[in-house]
Amino acid sequence: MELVQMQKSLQDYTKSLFLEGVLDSQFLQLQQLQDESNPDFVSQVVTLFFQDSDRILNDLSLSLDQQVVDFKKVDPHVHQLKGSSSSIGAQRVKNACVVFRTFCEQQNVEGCHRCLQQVKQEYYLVKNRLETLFKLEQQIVASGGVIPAMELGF
Amino acid sequence: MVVAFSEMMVRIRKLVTSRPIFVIFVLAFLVFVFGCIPVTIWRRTTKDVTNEIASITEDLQSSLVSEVENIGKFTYQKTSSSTTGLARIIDSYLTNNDIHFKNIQTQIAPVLFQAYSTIPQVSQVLYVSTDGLLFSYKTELNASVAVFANSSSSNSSGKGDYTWYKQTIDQITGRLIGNATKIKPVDVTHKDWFQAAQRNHTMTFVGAGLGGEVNETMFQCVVSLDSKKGVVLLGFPVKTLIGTLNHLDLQGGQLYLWTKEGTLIVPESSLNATFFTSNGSICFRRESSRTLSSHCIHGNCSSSAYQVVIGGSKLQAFCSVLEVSGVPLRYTLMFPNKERTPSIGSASLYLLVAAMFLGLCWPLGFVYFMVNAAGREMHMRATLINQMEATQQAERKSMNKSEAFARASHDIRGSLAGITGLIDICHDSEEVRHGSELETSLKLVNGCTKDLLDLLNSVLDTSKIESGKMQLKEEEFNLAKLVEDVIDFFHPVAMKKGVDVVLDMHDGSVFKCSNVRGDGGKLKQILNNLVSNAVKFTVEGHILIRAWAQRTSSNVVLASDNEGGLSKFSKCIKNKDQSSTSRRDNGNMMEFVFEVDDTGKGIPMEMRKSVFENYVQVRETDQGQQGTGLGLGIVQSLVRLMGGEIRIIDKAMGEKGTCFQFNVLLSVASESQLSRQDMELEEGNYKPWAIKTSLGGSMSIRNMSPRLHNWLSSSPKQERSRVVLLLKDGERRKVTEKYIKSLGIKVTVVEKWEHLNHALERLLGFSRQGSMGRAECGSLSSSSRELPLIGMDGIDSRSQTPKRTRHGFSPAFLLVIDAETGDFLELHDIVEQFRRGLHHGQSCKVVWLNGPSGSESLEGNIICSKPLHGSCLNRVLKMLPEFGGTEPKEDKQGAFKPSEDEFLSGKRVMVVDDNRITSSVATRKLKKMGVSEVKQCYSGKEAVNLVSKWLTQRELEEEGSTQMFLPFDYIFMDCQMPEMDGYEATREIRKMEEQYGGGLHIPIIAVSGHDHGSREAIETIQAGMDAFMEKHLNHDQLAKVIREITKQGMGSLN
Repeated sequence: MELVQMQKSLQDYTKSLFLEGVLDSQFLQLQQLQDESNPDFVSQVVTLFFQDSDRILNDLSLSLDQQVVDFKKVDPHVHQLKGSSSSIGAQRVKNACVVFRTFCEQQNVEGCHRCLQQVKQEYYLVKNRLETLFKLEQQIVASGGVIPAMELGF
Repeated sequence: MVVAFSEMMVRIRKLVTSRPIFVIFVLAFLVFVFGCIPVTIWRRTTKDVTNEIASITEDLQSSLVSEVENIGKFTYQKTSSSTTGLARIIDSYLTNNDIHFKNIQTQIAPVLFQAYSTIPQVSQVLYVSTDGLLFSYKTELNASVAVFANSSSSNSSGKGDYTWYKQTIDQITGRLIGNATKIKPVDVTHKDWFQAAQRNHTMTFVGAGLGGEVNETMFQCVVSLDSKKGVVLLGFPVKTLIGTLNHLDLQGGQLYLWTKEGTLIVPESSLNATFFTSNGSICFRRESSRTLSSHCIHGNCSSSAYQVVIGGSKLQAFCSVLEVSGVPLRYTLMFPNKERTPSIGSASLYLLVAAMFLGLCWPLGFVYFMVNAAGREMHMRATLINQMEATQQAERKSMNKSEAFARASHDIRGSLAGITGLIDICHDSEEVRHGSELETSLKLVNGCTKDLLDLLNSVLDTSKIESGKMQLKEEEFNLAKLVEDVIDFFHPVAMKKGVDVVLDMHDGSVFKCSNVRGDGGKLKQILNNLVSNAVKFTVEGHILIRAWAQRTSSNVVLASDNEGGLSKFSKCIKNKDQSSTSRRDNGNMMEFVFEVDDTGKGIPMEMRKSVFENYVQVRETDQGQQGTGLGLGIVQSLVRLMGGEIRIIDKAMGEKGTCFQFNVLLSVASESQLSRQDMELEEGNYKPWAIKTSLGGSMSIRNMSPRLHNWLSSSPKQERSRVVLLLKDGERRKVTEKYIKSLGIKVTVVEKWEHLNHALERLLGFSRQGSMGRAECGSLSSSSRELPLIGMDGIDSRSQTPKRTRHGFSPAFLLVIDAETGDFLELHDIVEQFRRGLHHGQSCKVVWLNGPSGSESLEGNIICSKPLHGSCLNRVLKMLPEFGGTEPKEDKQGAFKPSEDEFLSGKRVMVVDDNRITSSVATRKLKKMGVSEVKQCYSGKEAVNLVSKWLTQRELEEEGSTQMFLPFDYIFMDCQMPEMDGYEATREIRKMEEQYGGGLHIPIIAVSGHDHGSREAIETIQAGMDAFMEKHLNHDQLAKVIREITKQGMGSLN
């Protein structure tokens, strides 16, 4: 009974993530790619994403705090972040990155700072949510259940 | 830039403003200078002339005066001395104191006569004695007479009382001849002049002559004898003087001569005034109409000029005393003073004034016009500047707008994509039950989003076209398929409204060159727009899309339904010419003509031109229809971009709706000529040139391309199969029938399902008859079995050509039946019955349109759910033995779905991406698709190194090996990477491959976050990549890309 409830709440939670726009269809595709041969694919990728993103955000903060901001350095970082967030379906991070890049092109330091904050905010949000999601999944797995497959609408 | 420009303009404006003033100054100066010179010259000349005239006049007048004086002086100058001489002679004759008439007559008369005849001009010679005896000769009326006073008469009382006689004389001797006549006596001795002469010895006077009836006025000179015995008188006529004076040219002047006593001698002519003397001065009285004015000149006026005004006319008078034979006479010369000098002066003044006037008026007028013109010019310049500024501003605004549009588009599209995604999520979630209200709402929302996206796209297209950024892509595509796709897309929508969308391939010319190069996307957009409009505005009837190709060189007017037969004929000839010349000219470009013909409300005549303008909608017809009115504007721009023109064609009277026709120029892909056969086989196409037949005269039911006639020219005839058509929609029926007939296949059209049975029975009868005939005669030819079907209810068979079977295959029946025309089971029964009745060996195939699923299990039955036109129709027709008799492979709808293992299984792939996450996701995806080995590279350099390493290894190991095998079947290359990006990496790899040689080519697929068709996408192809894909390796897209690459690879190997 409890397991079913847990499964249901996981489903609801996942759905809410989509509705909030934290995740997009790409994440569903990721989940689809996960199978018996590679059972931890999603978490692996997401962990990779967390590692990368933490590093990138750190670098970005450092770069932007400099007296003279080297936008040639900043832009590839943002591009990287955009690519990886897009790959895991963290679309709000991705969108923030898109805006960030336009500011980079304009060499707008203030805008970049604002965007960095925005990106960070979105990143922590998605990180938080995904961690919760994985925690829920782990709970289900721990209690011997199966993670319900999301329906694919895309 | 702009500021400098405007400054310059201001300066120019100032210059322009100051110019008229400058011109005025210059002109005024010129007028002053050039006016002064002639004025001074004039003045001087006038003065000179005046002076000269004055002096000449003076000379003239003084000479006149002197001449008059000369005349006076030299006329009768010797009168006084002659008289004195005569007196002396007579005195000498009078010796005795007492003088008798006898003495006088004998002694003095001859002397007198001598004097009379010798002294020139004398008209009277007279002697008077103191006591009054008188004897004289005188000239009277050109005859000389003698006048004498005789005392011998009876009267002897005293002195002076004599009788006077006149008697003619002998002109030579002076003797008295004839009778003496008595005349009136004159008391001579008591006359003044007689007494004055007695006193003063001599005396002269002017007076009338003595004796005789006619006594003219004479200058008379009287001298008394020294002995006091009488006086002698010589008289000279005044007439002579007057005559001399009269001969004088007075230069317009007048001469007045008078004696001291006031007797006027010469009143030459009057100045309209009477002349009289009073108190020694002369006066002129002039009687004008009212007043009686008189002017007097003092008598002793000097010879200098004296101004007289008589009756308004000024006169110059010269007075002097003239002594003629001792008689002092006064004369006055009057010259009319007509003010010659002032008149010259005034004339020159008038001239001057006129010149000044002209000289002032002309520049003034000129200046006026100049000022006017300058004003106008300034105004225009100002307007131009304003306009230019406004234009620039408008352009800038427009540019900004376009840019803003372009910028906003990305965001709006993104948001819209998000909305669509979310809707799909909602839709798929369990909460939304099927059929619930929420679901319908979601569907509606989805529809709205799509509309919004369309709208956005059209607005963007407009702005793109406006800013001239719209560029045509150059890619190869299948035109026939494109047209069909468009129609298939709209078909279900239209069918919902009960409107059929029919594709009319006309003469199949599009199929012949369907592989074209050009911008397929834009062409699709054009067609989409037109067809969607047609669908939108058509409530009932059908929408017909016609397409055909023609040579670009042809100037043939596009064929339309209402053209006459003659023009069709001429077109036919023209086309023949073209077909002969087409090979010669480089005809790679073809003109494709499309017509979208609907039966909607139509567009009113007056709106037809403006309908292609942006933001224009036909108000009367768009009730409740939404849209921006941008559609047709975009369509027109796109059509023009493709080198064509769009217009609305007039439909025949009574026909409803609108017919849009447009043409585009597309280059036919060069290999299409070669691959045509393959393509058509692949597409399930017919081979039109396999059947060569002459068709009967019933071909031109509707307009038929003459080209068709060309390739269906007379040739070996053969038996053909028959197609039976039972279709619901009339227009489709017509089009399909015509099309099949154009291929040389006999068609039987059944309009209602009730007639199907009857028609089939008829056909059956034919076939039996035919086969029997064949059996009986043993020959393959039979002309008798062709019975006309005309006249049967609802059945229309129009192609009636005699035919013979030449080839081995037997003709087949193809039944194309729309299952929706009637009850399917009943129809099925009829068909089954027909099938049973067929002769052995005759085949019958049935195609059910829109048939219920499951029926295909029946033998020979094929279900076709797509509208019967284009490739679907071709596939169906391909079942006929003439076209190969193959069964269509995939009749059902649904995209070609290759199995997952099919195209990537066992392949080795390299993924180049600097992003670990993206890379691993891609890897995972590819593995899922069956890829056996994925090599991940995190930079372009790494990939290049890997390839080069492999190539060198290969060279070392397997030299001489002819077998080619690639290290990787595909490389997925991210475009944007640090250090070395995808483009550069690709170029490097391609370079290495070239060095290696042997036609080595690793397919590289670009993966990028950018759109298809963006600049980046084109760049990838330029860099040498084989294909372009959006990120998130989409399954279908990947499949398509790989299929294309494989095809290319095959092509290049071959």
